[in-house]
Amino acid sequence: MASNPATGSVAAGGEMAIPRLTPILPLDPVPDLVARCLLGDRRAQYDLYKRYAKAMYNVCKRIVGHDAEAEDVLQDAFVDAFGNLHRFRGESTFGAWLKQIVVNRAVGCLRTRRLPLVSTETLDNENFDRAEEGEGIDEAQMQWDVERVRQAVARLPDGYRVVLTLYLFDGYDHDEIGQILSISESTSRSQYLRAKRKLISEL
Amino acid sequence: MSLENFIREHRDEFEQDAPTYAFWQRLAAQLPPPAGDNHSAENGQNKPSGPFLGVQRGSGVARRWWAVAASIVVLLGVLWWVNARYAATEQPEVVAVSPAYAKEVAQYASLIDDKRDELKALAANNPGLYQQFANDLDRLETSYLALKKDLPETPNQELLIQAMIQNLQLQIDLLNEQLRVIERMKQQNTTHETV
Repeated sequence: MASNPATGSVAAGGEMAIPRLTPILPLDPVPDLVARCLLGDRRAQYDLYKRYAKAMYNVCKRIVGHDAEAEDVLQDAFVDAFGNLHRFRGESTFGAWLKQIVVNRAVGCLRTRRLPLVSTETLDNENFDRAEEGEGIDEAQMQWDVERVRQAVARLPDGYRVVLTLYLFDGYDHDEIGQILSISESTSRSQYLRAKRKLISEL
Repeated sequence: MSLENFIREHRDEFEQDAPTYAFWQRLAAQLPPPAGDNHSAENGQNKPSGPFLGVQRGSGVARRWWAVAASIVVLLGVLWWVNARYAATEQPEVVAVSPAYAKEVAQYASLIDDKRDELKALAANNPGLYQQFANDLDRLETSYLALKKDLPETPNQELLIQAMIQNLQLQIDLLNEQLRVIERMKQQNTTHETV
């Protein structure tokens, strides 16, 4: 990244006679793909889809927790994204924009199941806090395994799983998760800690 | 190692499944039909979208033909303009007697048309006045047409043509006078308004 400003200043200085010695970074093909998609180029649509399909499918599957439903959500999300491509203004990366659509669709799918996204499971706050204190020690000594973690995440109740995956896998912070799920930031935070505790107990 | 760190480090290993190609086919069926596939889009780019692009991109031969066509159009335009300006063809009776007179008649006639248009524009906001002026002009015009009608039979054609030209001159004088009247009225109006 440090070489970028230098490259830029050479170009801006207009010293066209001097050959550029710094290697040109490969151009991000996504803006071009997006532009071609806007013109209805089916090939570009496929390329763009291909680029994000796997990641978005995993986002869907983690949130929805069900293969067939995840495919339905993903399909709706892509149709939505391609249909509203003109609304993508490049304020974020295309991936982030698409992911927002996918996440909102997936969360919407959970809502239609009429299950509460935030577990109503009553929790004694004192016990919870005490559990929190001891958790760090447990974690440090844990022997993690990808497959076991994956299965344990899938077994979590919806309300726990959504918050945990959005935070751990999708890189949203609690403020953003709060907005996505229409809950407060502190609810997201406490829900995450509960989810994590539940997950560890399952392993 | 904390759970967060473990997942961060093994992030890719958690991404295992991918939708099948059949999934894309189902998805593609739901997307709006493409505006045009790549092939036709490329053809469209190569095809000139209009005759002027054809001139720019076409071969030398095509370019020459376009140049010829353009020259013909320009020539026709010039001929039409000359004809309208000295509308000799509109005065066949006069031409038969004397081409010189015909030219003079045509010049006057075109001058009259111009001035009539001018009058019409100036008197647009005063239709009553314009009608009055038009009536006066029409009286001269009627006598002109009567003279023109007599032209083929009259023994002294030159004299009659001179009378026609005189009539046209009278029309022009009248138009000039009318235009001057309108001009003066407008001036008065503006001075009233400013005062």
